[in-house]
Amino acid sequence: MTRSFAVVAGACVVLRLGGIGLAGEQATAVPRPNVVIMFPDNLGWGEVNVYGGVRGAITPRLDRMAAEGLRLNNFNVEFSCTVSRAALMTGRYAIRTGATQGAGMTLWEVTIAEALQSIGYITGLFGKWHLGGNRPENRNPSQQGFDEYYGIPRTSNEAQTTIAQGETAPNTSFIWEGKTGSPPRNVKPFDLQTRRTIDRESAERAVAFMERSVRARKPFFVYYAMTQIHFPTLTHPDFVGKTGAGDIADAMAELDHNVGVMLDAIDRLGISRTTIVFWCSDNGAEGRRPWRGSSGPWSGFYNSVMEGGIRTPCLVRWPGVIPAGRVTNELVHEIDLFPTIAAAVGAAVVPRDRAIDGVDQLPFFAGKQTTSNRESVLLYANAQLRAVKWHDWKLHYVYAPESGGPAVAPLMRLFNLLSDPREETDVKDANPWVQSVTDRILNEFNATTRRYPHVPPNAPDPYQPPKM
Amino acid sequence: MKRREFIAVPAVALCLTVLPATLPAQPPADFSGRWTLDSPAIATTPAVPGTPAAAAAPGDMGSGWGSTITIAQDANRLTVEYAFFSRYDLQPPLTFIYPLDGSTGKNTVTMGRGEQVESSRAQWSGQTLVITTTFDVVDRAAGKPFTAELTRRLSLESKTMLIVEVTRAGVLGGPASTTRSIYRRS
Repeated sequence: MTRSFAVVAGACVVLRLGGIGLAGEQATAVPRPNVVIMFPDNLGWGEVNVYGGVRGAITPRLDRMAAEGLRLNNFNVEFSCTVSRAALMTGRYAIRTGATQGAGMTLWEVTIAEALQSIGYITGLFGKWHLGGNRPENRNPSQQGFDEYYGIPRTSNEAQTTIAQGETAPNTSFIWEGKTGSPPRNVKPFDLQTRRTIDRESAERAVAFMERSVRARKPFFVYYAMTQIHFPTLTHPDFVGKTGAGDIADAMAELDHNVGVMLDAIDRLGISRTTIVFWCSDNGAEGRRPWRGSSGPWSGFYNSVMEGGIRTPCLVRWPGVIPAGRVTNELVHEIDLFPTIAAAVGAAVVPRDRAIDGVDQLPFFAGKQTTSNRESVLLYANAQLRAVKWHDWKLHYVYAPESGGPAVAPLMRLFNLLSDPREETDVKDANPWVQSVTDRILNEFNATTRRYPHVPPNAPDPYQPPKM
Repeated sequence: MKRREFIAVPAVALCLTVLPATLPAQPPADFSGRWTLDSPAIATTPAVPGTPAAAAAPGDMGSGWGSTITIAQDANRLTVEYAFFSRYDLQPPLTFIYPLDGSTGKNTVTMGRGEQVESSRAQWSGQTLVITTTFDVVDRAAGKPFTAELTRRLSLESKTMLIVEVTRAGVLGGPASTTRSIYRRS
């Protein structure tokens, strides 16, 4: 068993920070930290100044957040929107969840929101959901642990046609809202006008939510799932033409502003030192013209498992716990956020009845150890395993460099991401031994599926796992 | 009838015993020539997890010598050469020399990660040439140095078909794997 497959990791979540020891559910004497995840959409590495952005210095707030916290240079995600959100929310590789864009994710899955809600957190989603499939009212955020939500049920491109995913007629795409105990309510059409304003609205609602939570003296979880810079990359009117560098740059300036709105609110409320903030993208750069994004030094775009599709910026800020200004190239995956948050709040809330692929990275984030608790990453394209990363090595089992494109022979290709970041020089002939390591990692993962079979794609609710 | 059979059997046995000693020894297989990999078909649709198609590796690690190779062979050595880089790169082809006298030869490979030296020893097993290659691996990811081993078995299926079967020994707790590559004379 490698460090990557900490099945039932939540069973042993123990936190020791700054000499304060918290264990399991006994941590009542110390207030639990708030948790904020800001999760932009289709945002590539090359869009952020501190990551070597290509469009000028248009992200001062993100740059400052990096200076105030931890910058991850090897943060990995799933290759596409719905599967990435499934992985983020569950701490499981999406292949295990059976999540698909059309059907969403079964309610049997336990999300970060459900876990935190179970220990008294107030939970809110502001922005994009996209885990409810074509009938999101039946798999809506309040059924997955969010006390309230506001945003779009599915994805941003609906704004161009106003045809909701799974529908055929226009005027079927809406901005929705909801709360626990009530069905979702359509608020207004989601079209090219409201597409421009949804992120600002969501930020304002998220701030109001945080203010209410602080007044109520309740710890909160905010999931600010930003819709920028997914196509159509049309920004808030306040930012149109602001950078002089095009639509994506304008959208990044808006996004950066909204990050600032969130961080300023946290500072103003006096909860900076009790709030852990993550900012990371769901997948790699937008690839669709005319809003093709930048993958920075990497090759490829989202919908591929090239580094440009699965390696995204990630910043983590928690003053007093996570040292400021640290930069690392250690492997981290979005599935690690769930166990890491569980450790941060000092509660064993990670499910124990299923395989959890995420690992607790808090000791690493907090500078208590120099290495990540993760050695490898599995990269799937929906049901197909495409590649395995092990430290700086990446073995493609099925090399398909173009988003949605065919596999290209030779299928198996080995790259070293330090000496060849663009995955251009296949060095398997000189390093054939790497396959043995990645095969072992795959075998270990597959062994867990015998005890914990994958949820079948498109599985209906209520889902019950087979008895093994 | 019975008597003739009785006589014929010792005669055949005599021939089998005496003839090999009197005929010259069969020369070893000659792999010289230019060979091109017989590419396997690529599945156009992803395999469904849990099915036999998914279990079968859709690709492979190849022979370790690329898709088009040129082999020169004499009594003392086997030389394998293949173009790894593009014309633009202005790099010579990769060349591997394997002594055929039982001694150990060293080849140095430069692929942008320093000079990687591999040691090889070749021996005949009938008409099959077995080349065992070891790599001393010093890699940050592995933690401590270790030795990896790769064994190639070269044989001629016919005058125009070369089989290169490669077994990569397991390392760091991982399994071994074997790839069978078919080259055709080009």
